[in-house]
Amino acid sequence: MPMAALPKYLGDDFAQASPGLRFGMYLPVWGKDNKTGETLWTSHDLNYREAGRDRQVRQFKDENKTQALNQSARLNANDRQLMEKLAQRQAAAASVLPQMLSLQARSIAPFTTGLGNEHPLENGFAFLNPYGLPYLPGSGVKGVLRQAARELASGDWGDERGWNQQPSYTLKMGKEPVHFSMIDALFGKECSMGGKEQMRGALSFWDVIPQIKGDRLEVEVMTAHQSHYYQKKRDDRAGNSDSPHESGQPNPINFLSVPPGSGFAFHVQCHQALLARIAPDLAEADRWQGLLQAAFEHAFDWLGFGAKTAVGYGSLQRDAQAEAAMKQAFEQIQAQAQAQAELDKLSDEQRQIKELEQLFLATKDKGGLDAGCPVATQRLKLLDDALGWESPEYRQQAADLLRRIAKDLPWAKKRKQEASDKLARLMA
Amino acid sequence: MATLTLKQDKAASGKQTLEQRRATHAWAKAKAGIAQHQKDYVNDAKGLPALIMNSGLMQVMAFLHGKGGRHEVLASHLRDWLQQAQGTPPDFEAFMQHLLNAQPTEFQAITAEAFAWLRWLRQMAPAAAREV
Repeated sequence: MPMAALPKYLGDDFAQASPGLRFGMYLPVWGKDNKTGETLWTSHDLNYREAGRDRQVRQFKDENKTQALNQSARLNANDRQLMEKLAQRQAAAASVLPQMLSLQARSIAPFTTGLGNEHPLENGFAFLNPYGLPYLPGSGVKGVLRQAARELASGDWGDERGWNQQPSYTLKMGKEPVHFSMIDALFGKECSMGGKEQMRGALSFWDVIPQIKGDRLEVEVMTAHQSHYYQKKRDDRAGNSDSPHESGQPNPINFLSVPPGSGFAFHVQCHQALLARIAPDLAEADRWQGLLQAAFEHAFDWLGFGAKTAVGYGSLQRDAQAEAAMKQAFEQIQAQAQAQAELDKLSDEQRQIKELEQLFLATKDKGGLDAGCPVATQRLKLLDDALGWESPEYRQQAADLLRRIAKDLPWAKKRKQEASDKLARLMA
Repeated sequence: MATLTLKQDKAASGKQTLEQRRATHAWAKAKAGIAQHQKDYVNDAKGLPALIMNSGLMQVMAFLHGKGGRHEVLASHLRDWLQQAQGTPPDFEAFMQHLLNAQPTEFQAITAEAFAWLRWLRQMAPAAAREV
């Protein structure tokens, strides 16, 4: 039974820890000798089984890597909830910020990211701290889109979709004018060490939190056949040569991936004032958005996101259905924000009247008006409060609303009389 | 009494601070490591703090021991410093057993000390490599 290399006070049940922690800190990969109980500090267990024609008990090295990765790939209910909340939080922030471009996509191939990160099993994975969930860094999105823009602008792919590489803009930096292209204006311009011709781009790319399909990540295998060449090791089994050839020993390496069918929400923010200053025609009528959409489509079709895109990982396609749902959610968030802003402008008395009116209309639409409903309780509260108000205008508004509500609300006879008396006092 | 205080101050000024001791130790180990494994030692030293940050001290020490060779050399250098600073055993198996049985505050202190020394090593190693 493998264990994680951890002090004993931490225990050994990490089922509620995030996948990031289970893959990093709590990876149960270190083996034991199951006869002696000794910790081996290797990635395999030593087990003893009868084997062979003579049914002798023999020692077997059982690898723990795949099992450990499978354990770290599980998503529990908390992880799923966190993943959804993070996406909702991003969408809510994007919906109220000006100058955003938001796109929804779905993966049609496995997606993997951060394989170059440091990890005791050689291949890492990008988990977002402190949530411990897979993510695609905004810098990764930016790199792919810059490449897509360059490819489109080169003209090698037929239709340039509006992109070009001409240095059509000029900006004075110090004494010398600097010429730059639309790709530089949007993505930024780098220069060699010590040079002054560098500028930030107008676009900011947000991290992407994949909405994982199902309840686990996948454990996949890549099998290198040329490790003797990469590591410059001469080995009899690899033909005693360190040059690359077809007879190398296969070396299976496990790594994590996000399964196909997962959702990806891309959010790009534009620094409109900067863009209007350095490339006014791109800022005009949001031309940058059209260009970026074309770059996204090219990247979805031909480039892919994350790692191992050369062999098809990270292929995505736009998800029109998810985009419509996101648009509807944006509109709802904006309508709610607007309604709240209007409520905030009102006086306490007006707000109380408005809130009850909204509650009344919403409950009436649903057909939920009855003697015990929240409208009935709030109505009595407003009636009592309004009797203490000084402004005749607000008293009148409250009385009008209460009369409207009374027509639709069923009442016990005694309470109705009591409320009518109070209402008469309110209008007096 | 005043004389005694003065003597103590003089004695203290002759000693190195903890940071200086870390730096001196890291410099000596960097030179030894580079003499054995050249540029590989520098690269391993640079990557080690990130590996510990992501995977924890014990996982990484077990990993380095499992890989053996130059990785074990680097791990033995770190264990040597931790023995001086925190009193942990220098031998791999005893070191791991010590950490397995450590209390939270001690485990945190050992991890923090490892990072403090590695900060020096990752600066010293490239400098030592240029000297060779």
